[in-house]
Amino acid sequence: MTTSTPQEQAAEKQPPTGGTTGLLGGEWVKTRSLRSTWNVLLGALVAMVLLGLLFTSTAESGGPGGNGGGPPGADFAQPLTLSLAGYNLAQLALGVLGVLLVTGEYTSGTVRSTFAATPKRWPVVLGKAAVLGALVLVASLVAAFAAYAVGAAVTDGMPGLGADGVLRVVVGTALYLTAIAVLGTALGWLLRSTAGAVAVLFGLVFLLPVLGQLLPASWGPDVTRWLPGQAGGQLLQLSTAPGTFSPWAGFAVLVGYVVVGLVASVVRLRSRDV
Amino acid sequence: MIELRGLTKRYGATTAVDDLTVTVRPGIVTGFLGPNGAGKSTTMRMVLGLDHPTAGTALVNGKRYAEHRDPLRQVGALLEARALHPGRTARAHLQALAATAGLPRQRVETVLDLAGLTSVAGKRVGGFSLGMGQRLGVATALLGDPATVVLDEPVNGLDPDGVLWIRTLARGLAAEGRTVFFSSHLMAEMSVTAEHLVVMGRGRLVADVSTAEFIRRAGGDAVRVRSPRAGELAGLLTGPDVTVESPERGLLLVTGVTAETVGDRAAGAGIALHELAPVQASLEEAFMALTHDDREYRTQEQPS
Repeated sequence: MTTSTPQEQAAEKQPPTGGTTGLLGGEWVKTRSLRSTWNVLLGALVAMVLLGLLFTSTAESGGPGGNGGGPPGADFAQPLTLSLAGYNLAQLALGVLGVLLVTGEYTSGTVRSTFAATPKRWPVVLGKAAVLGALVLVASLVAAFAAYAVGAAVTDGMPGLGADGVLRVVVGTALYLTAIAVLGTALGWLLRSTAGAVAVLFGLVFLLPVLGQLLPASWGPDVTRWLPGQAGGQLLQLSTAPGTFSPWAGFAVLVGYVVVGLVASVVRLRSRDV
Repeated sequence: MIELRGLTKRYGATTAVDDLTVTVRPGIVTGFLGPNGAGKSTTMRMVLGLDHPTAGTALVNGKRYAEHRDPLRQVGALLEARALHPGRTARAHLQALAATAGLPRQRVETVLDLAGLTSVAGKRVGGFSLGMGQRLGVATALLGDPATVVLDEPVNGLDPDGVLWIRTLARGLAAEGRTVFFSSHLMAEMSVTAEHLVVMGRGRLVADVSTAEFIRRAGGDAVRVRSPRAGELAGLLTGPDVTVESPERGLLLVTGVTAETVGDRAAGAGIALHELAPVQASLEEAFMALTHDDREYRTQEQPS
C-alpha cells in the first residue's frame, strides 16, 4: 500500500476527478484496448473498398449496376453510388461495434466499475458515443475516400470530387456510418443484451425497409422514408427522388433517432439498478 | 465510515434488505457475514450507488456515494469476481479507470505490484485464473487509494496464499485508518480477519457485535464433566439458570456455571472428576444457530 494516509492524501489537494478529459480518456482506453474494435474497423474499411471495386468494375456487364435498376431513389447506374455501395455491409459491422462496446460492459460486469467511477452515469453515455463516433468517423472517412478513389481508377464515368454533390456524398457516407455506430451504443444501453440490440439494429436498418416495400404504393413510401437507414441514406444520393427527404433533411432525421436513443438511454440509466 | 440508516431494498414481493441500520467505523476490519442470499451483496451495491434503495439511506464518508466528486478516492470496491472484460489486459482495465478518475498513471503500476500482477499486466484477463481475477479486483478497489474499502467475498477462489494476502492486506488497510467492510459467508475466515461483525440473515440485521463478544457468546458457558458419581454431582449443581444434561452415563453437560464452580463443588463434596472442560461451541455452529431461521436456501432437515 502507499505510505500516505487518507488524511495526508487529502492535504495533497490533487484534482478531485479526471473531468471530461479523464472521462473521454478512460473511454478511449476501453475502446482501443479491445482487439474487436480494430478488427471491426479494419473489416468495415476493407469490405467497403473491395465491394466498391467489385460493383464499379463489373458495372459494364449488365444487371442493376449496369442498367439503372434497383430501388427508387438509389441511382445504381451512377458509378459514385456503386463505388460506395459497400457501406451497406459496413453499417452493420459498425452498428454492431457500437452495440458491443456497451453490452460488453454488461456481460463482463465492468459496467459496475464504470458507474462506480462515474456515478452520474449520463457522462458515460455521451463519452462512449463521442469516442466511438470520432473513431468511426475517421475510419469511415478513410474507407469512403479509398472506395471512391478505387472506383474512379477502374471506371471512366466517375464524377470528380469537385462535381456537384460528390464531396457531400463521400463525406456523407462517413457521417451516415458514424450515426449508425452511435445508434448502436444507444440500443446497447437500452436493451443491455447483445442479441437484442443487434436484432433491433438489423431490423431497423435492413428488415423494415424490405417489409415497407410491401405497403400500398399510395402511402407506404411516406412511412418508410422515416426509417433511419432510408432517411439517413438520402445523404448518400447524388440526386433525390420526389417524395423523399432532401440529403441533409434525411440525415437530420437519422440524427434525430440517435439523439432520442441517447436521451432515452440517459433517462433509463438514471433510475435503473446496475 | 459507512452509515446505513433504515436501508431497505425490495424486488417486488421479495425484501432483499430490510430496514438495515449499521455504522461501519474506520480503523478496523468489519466483517459482513451472512448465508448466501442474506442481502450482503445488495447492501454493498447500494453503498456504491449502483442499486437504488427502496427506502433509507447509505452514506459513505458522510455523503451518498453519487454525491462525491471523487468517488474512487473515497471508496474502493471489489463487488463481484470477474467484473472484468476478458478481452482487455489487466493494465488497460486499470488505466481506463485511472484516466476516468484523474489518477496518476503511476498508481496503476503501484496497485499491479501490490496485487502481485506486474508480470501478467500485459496479458488479457480472459486467460486469468479465478485467483488472479480476484487479485485484479482488489487492485481495482485500491486504485484510488480510498478511505473506505468494500470487499465482497474477496477470498472466493483464492488459494491459501491469496487468503493470507487478503487477510494481511485488509488488516493493514484498517491499521492505516481506513474503513474496511469485508463480506464473507465463511465464519472461520471472519473470526481471524475482522474485529467487528455485522451479521445478516434474510435481509435483516441479526448481530452487530465485536468478534470477541461473538466468540464469547458462541462459546457459551457449557462445561463438560465426567465423573463416576455424576448423578450425585448433578444434584449439587442445581440452581437458577443452570441446566444439567446427561447425554451418557457418567457424563454431564452443564450450562450456567463455570468450570471453576463445578470443580470447587465437586472437591467440596469429595467427588472425583475424570474430566472437566469448558466447551467451545464452534463459530460455524454459532453462526448457523444465529441465522438458522434466516437462511433463504437450506437443505431439508432429516427427521430424527
